[in-house]
Amino acid sequence: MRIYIMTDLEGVAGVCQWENRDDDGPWNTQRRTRLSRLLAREVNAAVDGLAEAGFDDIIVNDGHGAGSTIDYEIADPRALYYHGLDRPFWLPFLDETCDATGAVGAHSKARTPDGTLSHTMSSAIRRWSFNDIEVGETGLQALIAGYYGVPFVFAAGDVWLCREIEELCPGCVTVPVKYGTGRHSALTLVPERACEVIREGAQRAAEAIGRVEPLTLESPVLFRDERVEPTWDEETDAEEEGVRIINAHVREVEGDDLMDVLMKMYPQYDRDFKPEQWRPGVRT
Amino acid sequence: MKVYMVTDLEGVAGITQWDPRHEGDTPATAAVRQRFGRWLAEEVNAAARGFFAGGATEVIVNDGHGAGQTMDVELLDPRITLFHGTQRPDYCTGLDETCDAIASVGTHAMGGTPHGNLAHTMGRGVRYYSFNGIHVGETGLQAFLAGYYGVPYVFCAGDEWAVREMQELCPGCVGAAVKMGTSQLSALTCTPARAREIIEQGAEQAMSVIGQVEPLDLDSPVVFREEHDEQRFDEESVPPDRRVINSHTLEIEAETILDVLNIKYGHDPDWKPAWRQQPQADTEG
Repeated sequence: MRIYIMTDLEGVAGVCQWENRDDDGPWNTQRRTRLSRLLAREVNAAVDGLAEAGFDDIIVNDGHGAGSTIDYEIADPRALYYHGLDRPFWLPFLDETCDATGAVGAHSKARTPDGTLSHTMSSAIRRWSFNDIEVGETGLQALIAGYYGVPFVFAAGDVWLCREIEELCPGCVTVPVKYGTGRHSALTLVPERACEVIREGAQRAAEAIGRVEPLTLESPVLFRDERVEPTWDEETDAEEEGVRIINAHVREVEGDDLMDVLMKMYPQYDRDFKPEQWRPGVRT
Repeated sequence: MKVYMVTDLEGVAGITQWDPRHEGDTPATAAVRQRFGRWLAEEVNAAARGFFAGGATEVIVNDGHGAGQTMDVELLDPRITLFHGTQRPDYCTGLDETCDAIASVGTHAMGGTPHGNLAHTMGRGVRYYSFNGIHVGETGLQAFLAGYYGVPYVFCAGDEWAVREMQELCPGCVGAAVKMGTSQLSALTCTPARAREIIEQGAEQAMSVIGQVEPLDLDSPVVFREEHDEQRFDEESVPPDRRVINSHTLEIEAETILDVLNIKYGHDPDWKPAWRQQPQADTEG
């Protein structure tokens, strides 16, 4: 049984400040080392619980920032990890071969009141919706999974993210590890306790597979992309097929299905990229 | 049984970024480089454990990446003999006809390999290297050099694409695929800990293919060709012992691959390591 786990940093217990990847100094380097450890421990707790729940095939996407945040020296060797930059897609290996998907370290979508480190992809984005369903990063993950018929069953992170994803994917298991009280503050479990509750929640993730409907969209798919700053130019950006500029903050992108829209949003991605079902091992 | 192991960094599990050794000496790059040095050393140890378990009596490790001293020597299995450093006297010091096999750990695919993680051949910007028309990456080159000494290439640990490349070049060699690249800077990987288990197991199996895998062979004369993205060569100012095909492409033709490499890297063809000269000196004395 295969599960695909997306990870992020901002929803990890004990984190209430952005990661600074520009400061190379000793203090910040130590801080980043600790963040990697905190994330790895939460991932390990999830992997442990998921393995106990019967998942024998666990792919973890190291999704935060520079794409290599998890401390691999302590990461659970039972999982495989997808990491790095210049990726051919946001969530490679999440496809119809997966039985379920989930998230660890997840944060709420942009402009969530009291959501700790809430954002959607970057600080530039104000609001994203697909066919009027408002999503953050975790919601988009659930939609991509749904495109392949895969249910979103498990999330660990900020309580506001948990509520957000429960609404989109009723029946999924959520594990709030902190209670956001503002963009840069939270009431949090200490890392050790967070790992305990994540393990317990992950153990119940398999039960949610039959219970949660994959999150799907009707065709055509209309993506609405709202930016904080004036970004789009009504006179030039509308020339692209399927793109409508509503005003300088808002554009709409229409496509036959979700993947069609995603390829218009991210022209650098390769729609034909279909990775092999790879497993490490001795080859003779 | 003596095994010669060449190492590189880019095929080590858990690594998808270039060695930041030219990015300045900061606490952040120091932390990354220390971690990479540890991970490489532990993969080398795992391979050495497998070779010794499979019957090796001697393992020589060539610290092949970058500045030639990448692995953390404090962690190395004491049974290993390590060759490291820069300004080396020849291309693969210690590799000769007394070796029974050559192997590689931390192996990446040749430049231009689709989806190869950190794929490259020597420097970035090299389109390809070839010997007598056969395209090779760094590890293929080493396998050909080993073949000159009659030594078979038996084991490749690294990126799935490197394993496939070497199994095509040296049929019968054993691979230990610890990650699968999905682009230059991304990969699906197992953890360093699991990679070590796979490498140890594969290395032990590799000892049993010695005698089955044919050493690579090149007909004489050997024509080496290198082609670069950028203009590197001047048709009107040809360096000695070389042919400039065009401003991107250079050829070296010589009797053997060893001669080619000595020309390419300016190594003294008469140099022999002291440990090879020693027995002779003893008999004369």
